[in-house]
Amino acid sequence: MFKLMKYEFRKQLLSKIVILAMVGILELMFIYGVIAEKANTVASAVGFFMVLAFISIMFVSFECAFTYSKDLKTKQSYMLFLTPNSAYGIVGAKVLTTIAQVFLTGVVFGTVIIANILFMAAKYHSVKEVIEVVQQFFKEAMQLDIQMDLIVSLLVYMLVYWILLIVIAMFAITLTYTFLANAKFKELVSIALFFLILWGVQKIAEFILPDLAHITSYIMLGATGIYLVLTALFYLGTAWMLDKKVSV
Amino acid sequence: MLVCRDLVKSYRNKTAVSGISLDVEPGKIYALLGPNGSGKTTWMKIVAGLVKPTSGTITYNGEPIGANTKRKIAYMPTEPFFYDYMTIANVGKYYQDFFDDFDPNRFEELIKQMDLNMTDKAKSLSSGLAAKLKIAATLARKAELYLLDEPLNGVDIIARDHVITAILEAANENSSIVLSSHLVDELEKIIDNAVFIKDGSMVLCGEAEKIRAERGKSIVDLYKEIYA
Amino acid sequence: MYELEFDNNVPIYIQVLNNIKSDIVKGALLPGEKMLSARDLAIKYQINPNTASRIYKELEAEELCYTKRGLGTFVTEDQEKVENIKEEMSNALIDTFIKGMKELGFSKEQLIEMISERYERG
Repeated sequence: MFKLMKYEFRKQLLSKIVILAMVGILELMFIYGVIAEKANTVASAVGFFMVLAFISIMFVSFECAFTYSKDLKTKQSYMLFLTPNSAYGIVGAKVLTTIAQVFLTGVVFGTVIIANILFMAAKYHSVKEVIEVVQQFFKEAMQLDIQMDLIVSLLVYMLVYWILLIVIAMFAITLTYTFLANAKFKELVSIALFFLILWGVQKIAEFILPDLAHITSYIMLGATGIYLVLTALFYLGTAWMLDKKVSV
Repeated sequence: MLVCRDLVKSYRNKTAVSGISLDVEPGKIYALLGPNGSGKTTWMKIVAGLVKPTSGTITYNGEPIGANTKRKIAYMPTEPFFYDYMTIANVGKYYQDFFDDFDPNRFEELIKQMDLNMTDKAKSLSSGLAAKLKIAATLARKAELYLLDEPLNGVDIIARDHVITAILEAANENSSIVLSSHLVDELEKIIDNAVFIKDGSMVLCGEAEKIRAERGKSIVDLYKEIYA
Repeated sequence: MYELEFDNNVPIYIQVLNNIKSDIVKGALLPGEKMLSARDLAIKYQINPNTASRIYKELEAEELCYTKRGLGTFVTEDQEKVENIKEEMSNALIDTFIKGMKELGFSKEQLIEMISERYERG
């Protein structure tokens, strides 16, 4: 499994380098802006940074689907399918690699943002004051038990939902390759299927948990549970089709 | 070793393999003969687990084709397929990572013999060199069943000797090799059995020596007759 | 890599077999010398390994070589056997020659004269 993940990472290395390079450039821009006290530069850097963060997370999430589609379309599929790995392992490795990459991307951006905030704070106040502010923040954050609960379950919910999206994408691609092996524009068909399935999933979630307007952590837990089950089903479906039906 | 019965693979507008029954025994070298499009490649891909058959049965040592059989079966496709970013050394490492029977020393030996460098990028190799790389990677595995699809294609005449030698060195009483080719005369001397495929079906199959004696002609001449 | 001109009409194993016999007669393979393994023989002549095994079995049956378990296959030390093969091979060549020349219409005396004359040139 780890070997599969290693090569999955390596296949997708170029985009990470590009993202890091852009983060580097924007960071330099930001630091220059703060030191030279050019508010416009700082604001632009922060703005671009937020956009980059958003696009990066989106891209990294679905890169696995792009790579997968390319794998199936070209002869490079032989690399994967000649090896003694089960389809379940192959798909699993791809999903895990994506989760890891999204997590790391989040950490990188989060770290840079926090570092920038601290940097800004340090520039405009003394270091001692900055530390005090941070300590105060954490003291208050720890006291907000109930809200912490909600925040955590919200994060878990979002994470599971995100993973579900990725797995649905792979399912859609595999479905396309199973039944429409001779079709042109397989990518368009996959995308269309993706949205179709997503719509279907939404409908199911609405049906089972109709009262999404009143968000409590129980509701969210329920939805998370449903999404987890669906994720498992779509994962198994993808792997099964790949194992039994897809010819490369 | 490999048992295949009534194997069929049909696509929407064509039947690539129409009912092939073939057994592969250990310790033998088979030639899978026939022109392009006759079904040889599809058959090999089914055995390799890349293509799923429409009907029929195929087992390797009693097991259906799957992750387990891929451990023992080494398939060399006609097309280049390594990842774009890979150097020859990367290719070796990949094989080493996934195949227990891969021998990195043998790989190095074959690479040197074929006049390749570990630092060359797989993507930038000419078709002749790319063909040699594929052969080196595949034959560096100590597999039980080798499926080599057109191993001499694109290989210059001098290097062909090296390829044939490498194939002969991979042959032993526990392994079998199935070679598909339309360069019949190169293979005539090294094979045990010949299998003639035409339009997806097997038209003739048996020991090369017996066929030659019964028909009174070489495999090459027989080939010309069958596919004229 | 041994460049043997293969004749498509004669079974491969017979051609290689004769080549080896010829080597033994000529002394290219000395009495008692260790021979190539069947596998290496296959590689040398670029032939099928099972065929190579068969060739050695055939040679052993004709008592031109013997196998010592674990050590390899060796050329016979029996000079008589080698002489027999030499005689066999030469007789075959001579018979073919005589047959062909008879068909062309030459007499025995003519043949002997022609052989004496042309021997130096060949």
